[in-house]
Amino acid sequence: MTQRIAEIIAEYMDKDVADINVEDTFSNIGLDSLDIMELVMQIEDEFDCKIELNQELNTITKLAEYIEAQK
Amino acid sequence: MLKDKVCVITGASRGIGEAIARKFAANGAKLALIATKETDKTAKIVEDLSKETEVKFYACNINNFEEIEAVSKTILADFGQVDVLVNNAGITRDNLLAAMGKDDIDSVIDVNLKGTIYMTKAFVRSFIRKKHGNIINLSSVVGLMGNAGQTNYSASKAGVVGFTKSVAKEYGPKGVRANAIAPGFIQTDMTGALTDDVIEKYKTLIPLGRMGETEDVANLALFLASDMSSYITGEVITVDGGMYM
Repeated sequence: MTQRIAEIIAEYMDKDVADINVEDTFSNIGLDSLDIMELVMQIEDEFDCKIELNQELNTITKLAEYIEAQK
Repeated sequence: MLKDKVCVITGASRGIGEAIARKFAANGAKLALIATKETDKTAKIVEDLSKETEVKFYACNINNFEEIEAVSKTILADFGQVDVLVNNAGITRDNLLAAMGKDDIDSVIDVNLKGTIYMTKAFVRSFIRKKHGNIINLSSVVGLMGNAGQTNYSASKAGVVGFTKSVAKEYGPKGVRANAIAPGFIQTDMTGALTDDVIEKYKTLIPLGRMGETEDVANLALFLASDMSSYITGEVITVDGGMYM
């Protein structure tokens, strides 16, 4: 799941997935709050889940763990 | 001007909401109309407008977050998308602040302000997804100028102004527009309860010297809902015969 989320973000940012560090915070990756909101909705659709964003949920790894915990 | 645009209108059972619904239908919009409950009046509006367009009625309490979330999902499922949201539902509980009950304060803020926020929140994700959306909030001139006897109502309508501008700033980058209409003294059930001498007194404050019609407000709503206003967002436009300037 971590890999897939990284791919979604890479595609959104028009970057190579290899350039995305899954431990980096979203803001360090270069995403602003609106970008994150839009990506979260895309990820919710893909994984059929509901994500309540908060400040702790700020990396791809943490987001993947959060979604896994819901399954 | 609104051909095939899906428009959600709250408080559509009478007054300004009904006028907006009729105006939008005449201009080709598909309509999801919301009011607290289904009545003979709402059935008549739906029957009338069904001759011109696709229209569905939804009963929903605008001060209830869960009901709004549920009805928004139903509307999106029924119509596939929403293009325009008109947050029109509003109530008054006028009194001097010193004599105003807690319920009068809470109910007005809950419906007029929180209801507007709840409704917008319920649809904003769909707007972001489409990178397109248009929100029209009904404020009031008393939200801009204040009015003795309407502290609760004025506060709720001033809140709508701040909310509208914030939404315009927050979601403008995603192609979502938000504007507010601030009607003045419009002939509706809400103003119908006033005595003749109060009405005459108000008229002296209006440069155009008359009360407005619901259609005056609906005309502006049509403009804001259409692509003719595509570069306008975060605005509060008065429809008040010059009462507040």
